[in-house]
Amino acid sequence: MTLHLEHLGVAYGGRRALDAIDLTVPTGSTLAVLGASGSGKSTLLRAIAGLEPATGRVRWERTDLTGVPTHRRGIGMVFQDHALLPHLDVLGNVRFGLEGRGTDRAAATERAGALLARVGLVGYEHRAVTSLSGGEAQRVALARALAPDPRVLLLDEPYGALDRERRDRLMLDVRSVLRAAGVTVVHVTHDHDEALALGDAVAILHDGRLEQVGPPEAVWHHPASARVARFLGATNELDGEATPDGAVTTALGRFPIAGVPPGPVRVLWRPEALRVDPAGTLRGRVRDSTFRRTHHLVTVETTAGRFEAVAGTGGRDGESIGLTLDVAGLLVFGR
Amino acid sequence: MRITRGLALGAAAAFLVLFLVWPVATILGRGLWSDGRPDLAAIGDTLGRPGIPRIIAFTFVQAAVSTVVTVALGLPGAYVLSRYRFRGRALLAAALTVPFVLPTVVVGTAFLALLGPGGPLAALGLVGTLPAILLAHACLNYAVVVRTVGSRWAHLDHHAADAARTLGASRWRTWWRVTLPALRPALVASTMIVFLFSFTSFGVILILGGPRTATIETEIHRVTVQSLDLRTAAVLSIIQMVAVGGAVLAGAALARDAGPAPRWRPRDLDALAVTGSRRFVLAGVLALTAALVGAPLVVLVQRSFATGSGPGLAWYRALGSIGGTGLAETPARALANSLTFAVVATVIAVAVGGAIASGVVARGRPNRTARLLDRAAVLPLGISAVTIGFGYLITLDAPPLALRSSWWIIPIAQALVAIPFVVRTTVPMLRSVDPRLRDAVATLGAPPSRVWRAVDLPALRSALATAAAFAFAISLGEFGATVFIVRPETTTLPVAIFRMLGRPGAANRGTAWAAAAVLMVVTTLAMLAVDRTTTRVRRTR
Repeated sequence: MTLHLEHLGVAYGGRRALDAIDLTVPTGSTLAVLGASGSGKSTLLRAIAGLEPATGRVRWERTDLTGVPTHRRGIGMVFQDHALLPHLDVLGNVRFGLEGRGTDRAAATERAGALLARVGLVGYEHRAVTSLSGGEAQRVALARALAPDPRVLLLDEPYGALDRERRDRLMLDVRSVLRAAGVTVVHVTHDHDEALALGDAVAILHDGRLEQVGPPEAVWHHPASARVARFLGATNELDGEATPDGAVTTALGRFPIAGVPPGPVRVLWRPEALRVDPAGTLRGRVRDSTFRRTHHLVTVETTAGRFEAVAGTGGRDGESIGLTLDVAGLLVFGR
Repeated sequence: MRITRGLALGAAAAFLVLFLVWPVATILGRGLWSDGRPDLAAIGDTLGRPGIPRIIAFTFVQAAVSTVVTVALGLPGAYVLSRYRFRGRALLAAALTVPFVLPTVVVGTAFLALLGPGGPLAALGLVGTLPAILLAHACLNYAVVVRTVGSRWAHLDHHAADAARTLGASRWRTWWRVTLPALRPALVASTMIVFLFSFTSFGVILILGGPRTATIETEIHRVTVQSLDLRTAAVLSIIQMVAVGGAVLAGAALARDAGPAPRWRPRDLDALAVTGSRRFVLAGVLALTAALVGAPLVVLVQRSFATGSGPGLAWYRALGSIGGTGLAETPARALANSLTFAVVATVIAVAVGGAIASGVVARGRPNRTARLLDRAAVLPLGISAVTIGFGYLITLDAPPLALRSSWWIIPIAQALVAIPFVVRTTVPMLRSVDPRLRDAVATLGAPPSRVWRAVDLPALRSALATAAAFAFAISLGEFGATVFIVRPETTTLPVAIFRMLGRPGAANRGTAWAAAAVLMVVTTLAMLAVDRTTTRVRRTR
């Protein structure tokens, strides 16, 4: 069983908020959709849920869901700001999706209780939803969305409003709850750590278009475009020229890189690929230095421009240093 | 759902056309047409009459001064109530709101009891003069300023003021450059409302004023009732509408460039403990509230029990008989009339106002019709109760709608006065429904009918309960429109009180005190009852 999106598109007025998206999400897996704000992530979820009039098709294996209204799609959603019903208590919210389907009240209450236990909220049944913290509200929203046993669960920036520590804890909790439920998940976020950690596959959305989709490692190590590379942390870039003998020449030197068609190229790399190294052949001067838990992030001035590099120790401003560029970390794209 | 809403909106529009647009059009016709042709002679005639320019000028002056006095008195209250943390804050808020929901006739009568012959402040000789009217207006509208400005003040981001202080601004400069601009929209709104209420004030001026305090409203009443000069009354109504329309437009223009709303914060986040000099500020506000709101009402109750031979219930017993009141029915009977009419008027006002409100906030973009209706429903605010009453008098008197002889005309007029308040209280509450809640509920498998029941109905229910309370209080105390259209056997209690005050004799006065006290208690109880039900509904749901 697989969720298929075929040429899914949404237009607001004349503007394409979502442009012909093709994606498949195998059952029980998690697709993390990564994009900056305004990239069309939320619109994608709303189109899948049937909350936004869309072109193209949404299929669940052989069942076409395209014309099916939201409430009959069997697709659940956890909203960014939780969207809990303020006049119902925690139990009432979690039970809401069961009551409309003829589940008897006692059974619904029991299932709601079980779900609350699973998200770690035992004893919260009769709390007012307005009295919950952000993390608690998020857990209630998750339990509520899982209660009607949806085939697909959509998560819209579920951890956006939480502080880092809480977010990391909740992320792991939620993943285990979702795995136990065996539900298929589409998870939207602007945070690449979150997307890479939680997705079985990661899709990158830019301006309503799908830029790349693949396993997290593949997307991280082999971005499909300079834009994706930038979005995934490649803060350094430089123009170069690929030569027919399998090398790329840049202002920083000549690097052996096979398989690049000859011609002008753009070379990008993450700070990790440029290390401060006394034995390094490249020279530069320290302009700024920041401690980053496992390393120092150093801004260096070279003859080819300013770059971000990593160092084991911090540098003094203006200090002259050596640098080594790791060829394996270079991401090369035709211009 | 859409069809139902369309039908309801259509019915509401028909109601407004029949009972608002038509009477107003008739007034315009009377004043601006003669022999089927436009004729501005009547306007010239009226303006040329001795006394009329003075009356128009006085109407503006008393409204402007009333507004300044009310806002000046209300600001300290708004500050204390929104920023201080002290025991009894809720009680103070409730107490100063009482006069706002009380009938104007009751407040006017209470000030008469305080300032008039036999009252504790009779020596000041204020009855019949501007200061008495100013005090009554300030008492009535104190809550408008305190509540409107206070609720914004409570939710202001006080860090902006703190930031200004750290940037070297003095307390005064911080208030002037940071706090006041942030409060401006609420200040503009409450100033406009107080000005409108004071400009169209009728009952208070009729009871507390004298020959030198005639306003456009009282003059419309006088020429209609005393000299049956309907043409002059029509012209005065037109002048009144133009003036109020201008004031509303000016207010709207001021409100438009009020700037962006400041960041919203939950109240109480940084409420101030009452220590040091704040004790004096709090004491001052409590004393002011006691003097402005407490004194007249307490004196009214006290005098209602003060018979010639010491404290007793004589005046209350007199409510059951006609005696020398000159009324066709007993005051008790008038109270029964009032209650019946208020119930009918509330049903009408809530139905029509609710239909308009849900049309205005209907899903999707607000369409033109909905916006137009929204405006039309607020028009009676500017058209004034007296104009409505006068319009009914000259419109619904003849076929096709000869409602003058039917009691229905009274609750209809009262409903029309209440509708703007119903729309104004309902629309924001309906708007506050987060549209994403509807989406969330749909993803849980709820079909549209259940979405409406789960998301919209709860908001609508508490909104309409609040609106109903206001509509009931307004209808129960309605005087300006009602006084034109009651017949002897359909007299309401506010009209009966006014008539008794106009007749000589201690017995009539005493009975009027008792009747006003009863009306005060009934109105307060009605508001409390509805308030209790809505809070309970909110809590259990």
